[in-house]
Amino acid sequence: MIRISLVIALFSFYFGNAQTLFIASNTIDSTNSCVIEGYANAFYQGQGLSNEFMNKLIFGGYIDDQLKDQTEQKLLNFGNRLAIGFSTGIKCYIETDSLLKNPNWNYALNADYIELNSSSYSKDLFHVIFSGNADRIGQNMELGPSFMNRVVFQKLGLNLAHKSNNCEFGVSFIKGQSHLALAANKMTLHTESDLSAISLETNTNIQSANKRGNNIGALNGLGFALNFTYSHPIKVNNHSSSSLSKETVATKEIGTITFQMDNVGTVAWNNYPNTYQIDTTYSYAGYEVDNLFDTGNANWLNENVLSDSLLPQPEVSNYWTLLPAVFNIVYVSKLTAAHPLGSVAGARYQINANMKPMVYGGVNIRLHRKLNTSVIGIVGGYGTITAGMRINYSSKLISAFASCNNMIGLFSKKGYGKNINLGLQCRF
Amino acid sequence: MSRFLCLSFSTLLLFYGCRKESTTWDADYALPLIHTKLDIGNLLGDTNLLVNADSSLILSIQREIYRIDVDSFFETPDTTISQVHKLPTSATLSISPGYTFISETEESTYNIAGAELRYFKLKGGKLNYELISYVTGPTIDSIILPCATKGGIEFSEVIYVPTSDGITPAIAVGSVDLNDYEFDLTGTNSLKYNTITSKASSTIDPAFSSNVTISQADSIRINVSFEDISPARALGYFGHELIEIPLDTVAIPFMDNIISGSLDIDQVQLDVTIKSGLGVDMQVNIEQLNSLNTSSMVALNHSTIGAPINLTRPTRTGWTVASEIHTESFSNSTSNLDEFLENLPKELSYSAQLQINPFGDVNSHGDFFNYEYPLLANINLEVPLCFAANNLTLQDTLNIEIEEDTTNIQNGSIIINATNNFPLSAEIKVFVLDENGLFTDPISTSTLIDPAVLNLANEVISSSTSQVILTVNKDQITRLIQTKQLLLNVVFNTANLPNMIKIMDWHNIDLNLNVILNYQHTIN
Repeated sequence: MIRISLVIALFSFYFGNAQTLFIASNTIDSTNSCVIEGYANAFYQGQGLSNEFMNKLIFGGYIDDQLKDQTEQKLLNFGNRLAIGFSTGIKCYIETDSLLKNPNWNYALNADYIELNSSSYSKDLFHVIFSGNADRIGQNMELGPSFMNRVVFQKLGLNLAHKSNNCEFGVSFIKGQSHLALAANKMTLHTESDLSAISLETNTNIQSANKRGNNIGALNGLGFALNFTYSHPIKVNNHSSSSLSKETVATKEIGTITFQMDNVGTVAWNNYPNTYQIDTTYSYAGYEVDNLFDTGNANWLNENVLSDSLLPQPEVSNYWTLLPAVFNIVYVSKLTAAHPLGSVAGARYQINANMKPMVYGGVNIRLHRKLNTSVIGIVGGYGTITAGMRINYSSKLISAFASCNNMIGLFSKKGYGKNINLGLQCRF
Repeated sequence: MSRFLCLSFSTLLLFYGCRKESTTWDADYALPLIHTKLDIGNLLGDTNLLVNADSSLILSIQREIYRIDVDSFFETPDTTISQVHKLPTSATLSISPGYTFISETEESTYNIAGAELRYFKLKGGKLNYELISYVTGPTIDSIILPCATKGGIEFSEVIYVPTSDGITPAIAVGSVDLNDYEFDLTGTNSLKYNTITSKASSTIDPAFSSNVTISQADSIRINVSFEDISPARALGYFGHELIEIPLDTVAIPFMDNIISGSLDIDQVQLDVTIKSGLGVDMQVNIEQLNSLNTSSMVALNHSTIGAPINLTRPTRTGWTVASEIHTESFSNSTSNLDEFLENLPKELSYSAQLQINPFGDVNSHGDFFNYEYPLLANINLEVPLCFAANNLTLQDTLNIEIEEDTTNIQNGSIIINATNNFPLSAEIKVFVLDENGLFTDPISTSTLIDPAVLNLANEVISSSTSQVILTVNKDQITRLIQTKQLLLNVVFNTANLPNMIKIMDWHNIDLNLNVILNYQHTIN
């Protein structure tokens, strides 16, 4: 049972998932033989997009001109970020001393659902979608560079954990549910001053894999992912111990630095996906009518005809994409009754997710033997500067946490985005 | 675990289950719709225009206004000719199979609307027959018309009539197509008119097994009638008929759209041409020709109106006819034609008389007719497009069928950028029906297309640019889709009134129709 406790102690610090920035330290009872934990994370965040705007966009309501103008004023000309994500999963650690004929290894099984919609866009793209082009007649609208990536996948993984080296690695089978990526490296919309023509100069690639549907059972791609976690305790000399000689100076652990990679892998979208490569200039000057009085020209504005003439024909070919892998490095100081106040700091980056690198730092506070909390400041990611908080409860059989990376956004219309991350761990 | 699931589900609800209404926003999109260039040919039709050496235009309208249906001259009576054939003797005879017991030739003379025809050829028509037999054995009967031939072969129809019991007759009916049959109507002595020679015979069916006893009571009745007779050619005397063309009106559809204003036109020439291929002498009397507007009528004054016009008969070589053509010309100098047209007639009214062979049968039954050479009247109106229009107002109801889904369009504007080379202005007003079904709801907010710039000689030296804007809101779009109707009202004024301007073949107007739509995006 001691080994079980070690295993649980080893891995419980990051229970939850890679989306949370907070590190929990848990007290594990040595009688546990199995640990089951689960998490759920949901967020949306857009730099410049207030909650008042996003609430109406996501939950319904009329977005009036005033709100659009206020929102647009806060956007950058280029590189505005927006993401909406949801993920949940469950993981089960099994204690064993016979895996690989080595008592140092245990294993865990995990199942996850991950959905991430991310984008990077220009202010003009926002304007043309929400306000149109009627007030930009005679001007260029730089709709690019703009990028959008939507990926939904599920994974089923097997993890091996080394009991004494504080590391874990695993491999997961990936079922790709759907994928849509748009990369508009250049997209310029020009409306002639006399409205005689509209032109769109674009260099855009589109990938779409959803032929088998877009529900959770859809199988549009297959892949794999690796995850790795290594935690290294930070120790300092214990100068308060007077009984030891200089050669055998005692050390004490003041915290842990953890490096984590998750979802490092790829998916082959191979169920008849469509790809579009557009590098051209479209120009639409309306219908040229020989004789306005000829009723044979009556069907002037047929959306199908128009779209058929403008949209390129898709090419059906399989393609690979990288998963939105997460890289985390975090330091968490150790809290004790004597030292109830500590620090936390870290950095995080997610590839293929249109996000900026994120750094954060804050304090850990031990409120009670079973209860502690963290408060941090965050720079980067999908926002600019936000404040986060986590509350962690830990008892003999249950640990639980609730955290938020955007406290102002969670409660205020003036905030930018919402984020909530919940986790539960049960020990048996 | 259940607590975990509850938490997860709550999170889902937090993001996706809280939607209470659709997300909507409005955006204004501007895009080009139509580009077109209109010249006068688009408006009046290229085939109706003549170009002078100086590029000025003449509106030339040629129309057939009257065509006489010559079939009416030769209308055959709608009667049935009935002939009864019986044994020439009062004795009762036993007739053996194969024996012809009736063979008779007869002549029938028809009354053809006062005409005395010697010959005609048909391009359509049927001969209907009915044989009613009381003979107590089957007979084979024949109807032969020696006067009617087709390709040199005389008309002959053989009919099988079954056995009668002597009380109830046996009946056989049928019809024969008379297309392309030629008829000699002069009878057996070649001196008669309108006369058809026929021959009927009855023979006991040779295949019958026994003799048939026949008396005079066992008659055979043959009823013959003609149907849908359509002559292709005819010879003879066509009569002395006076054809009255009573006062009638003919609408001029396009002019019906002019509701007010005045038009001052320059020289006008109207030629009325009567082309006759009918081989008769004729006298035509145009009694009156009037220009009718809603509030006024102008009668055409000319020396030929009310006076008889004699048309001599055409000549022919074989059946090729050299039609006789007679033209009466009307102009500003010989009539009040400009006043007649400036009245902007919505209708023309007219009455006339047509006298066939006014001097009788002066050609000894030498009248002829070939349907390929009809009698008709044409007009040729030539109006130089040199005029002055003063608030000339055209109004028309346009039927609009909008099949596209317009649910998300809140309002919209159609912006018409016009580059005008015509020396006349146009003020365009468009209305949709209001709640009471009246065209009182205007959708045009900027309405005037300016005329081109003219020099002192009233010639176009440069174009003008103007903008017409039509704006519709959601309510008007809904009504437009429901009623499918628009009222278009256009007021034309020529530049430099009251001077007249000339329309040239290079005058045109360039139109760019653009649209600005307020579109409501909806995400459910």
